[in-house]
Amino acid sequence: MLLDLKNISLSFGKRKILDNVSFTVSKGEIIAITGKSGTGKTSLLGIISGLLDPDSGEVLYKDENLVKWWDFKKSAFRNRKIGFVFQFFNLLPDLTAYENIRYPSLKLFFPKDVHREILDISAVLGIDGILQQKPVTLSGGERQRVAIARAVINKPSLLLADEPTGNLDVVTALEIKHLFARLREEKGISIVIITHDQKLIEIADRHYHLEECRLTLVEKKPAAVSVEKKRRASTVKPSGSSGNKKAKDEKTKAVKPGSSKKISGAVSPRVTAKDKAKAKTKVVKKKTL
Amino acid sequence: MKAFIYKLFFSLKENLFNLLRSFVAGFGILFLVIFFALYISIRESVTAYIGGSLLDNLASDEIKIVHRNSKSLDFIKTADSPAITPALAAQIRRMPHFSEINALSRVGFNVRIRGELLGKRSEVYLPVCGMDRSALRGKVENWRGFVGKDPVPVIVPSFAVDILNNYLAMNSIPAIASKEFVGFPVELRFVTGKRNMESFRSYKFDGEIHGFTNLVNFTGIILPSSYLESLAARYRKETGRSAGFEYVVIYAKVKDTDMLPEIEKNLRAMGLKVESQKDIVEKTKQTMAVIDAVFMAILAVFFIVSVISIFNSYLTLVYIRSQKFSLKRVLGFSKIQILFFFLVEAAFIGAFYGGAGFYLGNVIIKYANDFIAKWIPFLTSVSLSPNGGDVLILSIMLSSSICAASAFVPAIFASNINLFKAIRR
Repeated sequence: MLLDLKNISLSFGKRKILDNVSFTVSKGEIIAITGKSGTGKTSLLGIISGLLDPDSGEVLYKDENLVKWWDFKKSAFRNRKIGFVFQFFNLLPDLTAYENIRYPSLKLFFPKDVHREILDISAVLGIDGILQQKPVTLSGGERQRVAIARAVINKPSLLLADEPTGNLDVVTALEIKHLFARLREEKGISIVIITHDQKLIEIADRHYHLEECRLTLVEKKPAAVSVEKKRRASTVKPSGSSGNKKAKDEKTKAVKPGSSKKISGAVSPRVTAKDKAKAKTKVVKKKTL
Repeated sequence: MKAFIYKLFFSLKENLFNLLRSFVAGFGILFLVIFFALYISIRESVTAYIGGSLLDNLASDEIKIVHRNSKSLDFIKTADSPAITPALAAQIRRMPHFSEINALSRVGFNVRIRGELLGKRSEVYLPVCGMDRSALRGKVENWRGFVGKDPVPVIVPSFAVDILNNYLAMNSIPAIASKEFVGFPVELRFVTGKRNMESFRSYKFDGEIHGFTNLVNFTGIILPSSYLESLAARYRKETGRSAGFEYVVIYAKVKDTDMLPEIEKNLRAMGLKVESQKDIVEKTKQTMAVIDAVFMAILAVFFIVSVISIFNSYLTLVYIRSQKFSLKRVLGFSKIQILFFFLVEAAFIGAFYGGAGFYLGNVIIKYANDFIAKWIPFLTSVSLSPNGGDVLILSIMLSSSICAASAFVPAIFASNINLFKAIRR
């Protein structure tokens, strides 16, 4: 168990935000949380990351209650174990895309050299050509990919995404969806996504709905466990074996249809013809409506 | 190592940008530092001016005795410059409380000094001051030889050597050190009364340069007191008139400092004004208290205005940069790190304004010398001198710490910013 939230309650003044909320996140799992605006979804992310302290309850990260940690330890935890992706990207406007991606790694007094990793992840995300540009010159999709690169540069075990597709067009949102799926698939990153996007909910292993301060499980896919198992299997079994091939096929089918390229343990997000057609139909439908 | 160097350059670049953006925030401190530099300069100049007396500072066992109505030490006799009569001086000398008495005297003669240099004769009329040789102890070489004798020993103000050397330079002659002038022959002529009058007398003596000094702050020559006294006695004997021989000031060393209050009381009863180290310290304190009060009041106003302006500017900066601060927190920077960066930034800006304020202050001091007498009349004789390196360090430290302290509360706001609210803005 990577993360275990137990009986979390939170109020702002007299206003109750969360009431006895509990859920767990396993390694490589994607959790989607939906809910109306102002129901406390973002506050829940704040509690998971140690930015907010709950009124009661425990946030156990690998069996350690981070609520009791000092700010310094929580900050280090956020820096090394957690990646954030926001709806409005939140890139630093004065820095280039490269500097934005590298920024979290500079927190340490003697930082790790992540130059090679930045180049690799940029190639994977398809932003290697815009690294020296400032955010203001980038499109929404490019900015979000830079933000994702920044979120994963320190190789976190948990990615917290707050409506990551909320500000993107349908096609770019699809790209982000596939990217998340592949991050989980190839790097084993657990992802907690707050979203209203049905496409993102589709890739989640569990879907929770937050309403009236309580978290309700809407859907749990058995495939979630199999994906993690398959990931493990693909790393343990030698390539070329029938088992691995089968797992690979399933993985490709389930998460990344139409993609075959793999760079440094990750593959660039590709939108399949089927997805694009679906998106187009959606746009046409919207227009006709 | 490569990553560390990258971080170093990156941090420098980032902080430089931040510094440039928040540069105006510390502007208020500039006026405070300028005024601080001015205050230090005026304070030091006034202290030096008041503390410095004719024979340097008085020792703890020394008193300065002048005529009750004496305003300054005048070596040229006028109606407005009363001095101690020889009779009164003799009375003082007879007092048993003193271990040593040194007097500075004047005589009512016009004194002309004539010298010959490079085949050219030069004559100038100069005021004359008589001085006891013991007053020169430790201040002029061969002070023991400064007694009434033939040729008369003459002590000349040090600046006279500069004038002479300038004259020599104009004639392409190398400068001569002051020591080289010792023993240089001069002719002294003392003249008093009007010609064709019975009281008219003219005395001519040979003299020689005995030494140079800045001991007495006047543009005249110093002769042995005993010599002037004997000359005055000779004139009185010949004409039956007073030669105007008087004591401008008497410095006396008391045997027992516990007796000082009583001695001062006795001297005041004799119509004299007495100053001791205590009096000078008291006088300095009183003047400094006035200066301190005025300047402190102005400094306090500048301080309050600076602190408020810096506080407000940094509060605005926190608001402007709230997204960045909150993002930093989200990316793993701790509260202490953000607080530290913010305070260091404020301290750097403060240090810059500290240095700038110091140099601007010195520039103003340079020009203020011309106007200070008009602004503060009692500082007429005070010459302001630019502050040194110690005040520069003090200014930088003061400005830096005020800036950092003023930015402390905004820095706390910055580190405690409502993260998600700021990020969503």
